[in-house]
Amino acid sequence: MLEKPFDYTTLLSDLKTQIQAARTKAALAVNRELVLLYWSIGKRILEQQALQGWGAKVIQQLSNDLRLEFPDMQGLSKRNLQYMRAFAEAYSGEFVQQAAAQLPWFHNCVVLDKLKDAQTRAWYIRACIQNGWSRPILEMQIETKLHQRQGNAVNNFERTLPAPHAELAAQMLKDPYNFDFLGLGQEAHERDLENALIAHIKSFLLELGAGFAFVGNQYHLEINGKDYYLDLLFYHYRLHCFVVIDLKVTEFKPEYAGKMNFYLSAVDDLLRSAGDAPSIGMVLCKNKDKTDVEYALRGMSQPLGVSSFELSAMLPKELEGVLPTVAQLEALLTKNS
Amino acid sequence: MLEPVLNNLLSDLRGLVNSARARAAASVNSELVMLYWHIGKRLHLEFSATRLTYGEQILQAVAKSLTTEFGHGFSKSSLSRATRFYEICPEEKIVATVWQQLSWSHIPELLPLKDPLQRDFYAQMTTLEHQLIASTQAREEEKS
Repeated sequence: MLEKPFDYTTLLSDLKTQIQAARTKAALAVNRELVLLYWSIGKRILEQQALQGWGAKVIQQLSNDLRLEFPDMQGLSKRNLQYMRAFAEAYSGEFVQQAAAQLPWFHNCVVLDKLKDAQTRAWYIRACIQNGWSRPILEMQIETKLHQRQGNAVNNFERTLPAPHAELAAQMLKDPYNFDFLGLGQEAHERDLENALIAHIKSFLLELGAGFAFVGNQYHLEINGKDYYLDLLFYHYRLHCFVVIDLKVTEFKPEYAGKMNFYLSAVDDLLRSAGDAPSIGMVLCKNKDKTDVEYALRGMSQPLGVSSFELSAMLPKELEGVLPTVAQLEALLTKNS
Repeated sequence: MLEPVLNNLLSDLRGLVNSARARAAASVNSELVMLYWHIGKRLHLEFSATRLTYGEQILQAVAKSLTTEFGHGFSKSSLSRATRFYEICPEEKIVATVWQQLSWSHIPELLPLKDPLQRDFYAQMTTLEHQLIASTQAREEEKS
């Protein structure tokens, strides 16, 4: 019997397709729940306002209370609550179930803002689902009055809408509202930001021309049967040592020091050879309003034989000019925001 | 007398948010479980069909590639766990009905159970427990 030849490329691309498809389906499901939730919230507000004769002030109060209750969830601002109210006023629950819930929330806000007529709104929502427009494209189509150019082709849409486009799903995946809604916000956000930053830092260090040689990103280490991935690994051919970079899209936390210590010991155990100097680590932390850079150096100020790494926000004099300074790195991270 | 009405509305909205969150998390979770199952199936069939002797290295390479692109859910140990998951539970129908309701983090705890009957029993018990907790919470929320 002939053995089937092993085809790595096909295997990998099949797995990637499967992951993408699962992600798309998950993103759609989450988006749907979120849009339906916004509609129900809007509906309750409308009902109570009619019943109690409440004004706009109550919405502010509601926003404050809800934000206190769900601190990790975006989209509870007064402004967004007003959108929810307008959303519930504009559409029936049935239409939201069938159509509007297939679009990201901001798409729905654009339609609410720019169009006043119910039929026209419905037309653009269906057209958008069918064509998978991004938000700027949707805005452009509305501004250039596509529905007039295309005649009143509202009936061209099938009753049951086709599955939304992959591009729309991709936008849903990036939509921070969706992730915060699940309480996953940061993690997913971080991935995107991290990838961009890692690419940026890599080219920065290589262009620095001070002896950095790129070894890998997401560099895999297996320690006690567990997998670990280093964000960036370099070899410095003037210092003759490995340089490990760990990037965090949060503010600096003490446990990052322990983690870096662990990475450095592992790199020293697994990769470092006799002629190499102890590895050096950099913890780069960047969040919205703060940038923190710490170097991890082995026992610079300590007696020999102590195998722990010290975090320091200062670069020792003897390494200046060979490694980028903390200030340089901070400037790099800040510029990239 | 704004306060009591506003408080009612607020607790109403709290309920809406929580149940929408739970539904969304459940759909994501069942997508995830099915995804791992399919990945496990693909890897299992690939390796048994080609009788690969260097399966470890390939798994390593696949894990690296997927991790770079999608993040940390696809390490080598996750992939071998997915393969074991498929080997132990090769019937899609059973995965779809029972296992989907467990979160992926429960599944490794169930995997070491060798006897299939035992496994299904535990899976069903956990599902039941899940429903019980959910309905108790719902009752308590009604009361409060």
